[in-house]
Amino acid sequence: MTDITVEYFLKQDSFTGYCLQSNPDDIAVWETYIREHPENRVVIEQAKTLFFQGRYLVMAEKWKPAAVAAMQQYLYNNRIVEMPERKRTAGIFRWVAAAVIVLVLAGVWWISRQQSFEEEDRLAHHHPAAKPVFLFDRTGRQRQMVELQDGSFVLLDSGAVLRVDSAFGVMERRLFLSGTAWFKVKKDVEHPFRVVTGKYQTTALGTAFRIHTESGYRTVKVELEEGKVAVHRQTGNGYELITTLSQAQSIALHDANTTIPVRETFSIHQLKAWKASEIVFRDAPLAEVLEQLQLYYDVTITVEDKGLLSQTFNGKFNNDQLSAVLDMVCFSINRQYRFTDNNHVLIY
Amino acid sequence: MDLSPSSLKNENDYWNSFRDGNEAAFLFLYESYFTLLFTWGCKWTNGDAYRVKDVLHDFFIYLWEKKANLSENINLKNYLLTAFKRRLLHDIAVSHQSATDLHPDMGDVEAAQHEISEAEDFVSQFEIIKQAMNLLSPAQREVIELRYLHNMSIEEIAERKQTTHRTVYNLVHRALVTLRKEARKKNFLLLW
Repeated sequence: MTDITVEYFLKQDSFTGYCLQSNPDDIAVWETYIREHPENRVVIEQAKTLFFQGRYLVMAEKWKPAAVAAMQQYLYNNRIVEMPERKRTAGIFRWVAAAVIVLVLAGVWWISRQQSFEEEDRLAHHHPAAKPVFLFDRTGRQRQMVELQDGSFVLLDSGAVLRVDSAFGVMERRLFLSGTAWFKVKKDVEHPFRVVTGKYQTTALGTAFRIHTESGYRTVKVELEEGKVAVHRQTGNGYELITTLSQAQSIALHDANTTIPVRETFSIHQLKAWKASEIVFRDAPLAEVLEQLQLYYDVTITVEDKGLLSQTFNGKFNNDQLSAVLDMVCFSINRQYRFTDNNHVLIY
Repeated sequence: MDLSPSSLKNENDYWNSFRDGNEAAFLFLYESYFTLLFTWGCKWTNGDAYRVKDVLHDFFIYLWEKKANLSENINLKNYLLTAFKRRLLHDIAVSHQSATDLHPDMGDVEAAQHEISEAEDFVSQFEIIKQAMNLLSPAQREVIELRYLHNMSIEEIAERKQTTHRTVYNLVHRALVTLRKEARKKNFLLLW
């Protein structure tokens, strides 16, 4: 080959896998090439430099809007927390003085709220995607079903903390979890759905699974209800594949264990029971109630009278059969239901 | 308004306005410096992009919380680059050793001369590649993104864009030639 240029390397499909050290075959190909053509080492280094610099730059520009929105969110949250704290310092003054100070502070608070609202409007205009929710914290609270912006659902058990990456959905859908949660993932092949638990990462396409973590990620358990997931472990800055799970398989990862973890089969029935072990609705619109029941009980529910969907419903269920739950719901909206087949319910 | 850091005539005005507590000025600086600092961070972490993004977020929150103690007259670019790099390396050290006896306020340490020139070299490289990327046509830029960010093969891109292998190949080829020429012209590749 006479014309060895930077472009020559960058045009090879396998060169990307070599640069990212992501594909063992690609790495082998290019390491052999470098051994056999030491004279081209400099050009290869230049190609790698161009590859990485361009990649990081493009990545930065993709992530920037979400990062700025996250910073806005921080400023917004911080404003609300900061103000009442200042009020508390007024307590050290005598009563009369304290009353005046509180009054004055209340005025300042009002003015700064006004300003911040105006500022928010302006910023919201500048960044249309402002104010997303990034953190769901169920510490000391009941379990909660959450819908993510991609249409996936997460059932967060009591005590679970879920952080949604600020770049969620830009290139991939990344979440950080501690505690226990069940995921029903919206299918989107171009944006892999990844749940990070300490140094372990579970990747799904369209699928439903539960993850359980214990004692600061020393134990991580992944149970797959349907579909397929891959479980990776972090090594340095990369990830190595531990295993892929098929339906009804689970894997438990313990930090203390040096042996290779094995896949096991588990009872999907128990997982389903766990999902239905506690369901709480508080002033929830019927549309939301039915959507959640479909997830808890793996059924499709149709309503004849769509006008009912905006009615609200209150109720709490523990380990109840679907029929018991539907009895309650239908009673409160004054309607009947029947199973049209095993997985379909009609409310009429 | 042009948001690129290099074109800001008085970025120190924004800095000082931020030090007075102006949120908009603070966000403006974050947005202006995001790409430069992110790229710089990737260089020091071997491309650990999620870490870089999170530490960058925390670094700016640190600045916001310490705004009253920040100096008025500084070389902003050098300060941000050196302080952010230290914070990143500190973050990596902590997560690898889980030790807490490392220096907690990395941002306040005066930057050494070699760190400053390292940062300055990086900024000039960054500006070159940014300019080069701006020379690409929208179609060229799109194939470059699909190819090198999403790691798609020429075949996959052709299928997705419903076009021929040849068209994609030519777009990639022309984009790469443009990038390489621009980089070579500015001696970018020799600097590295």
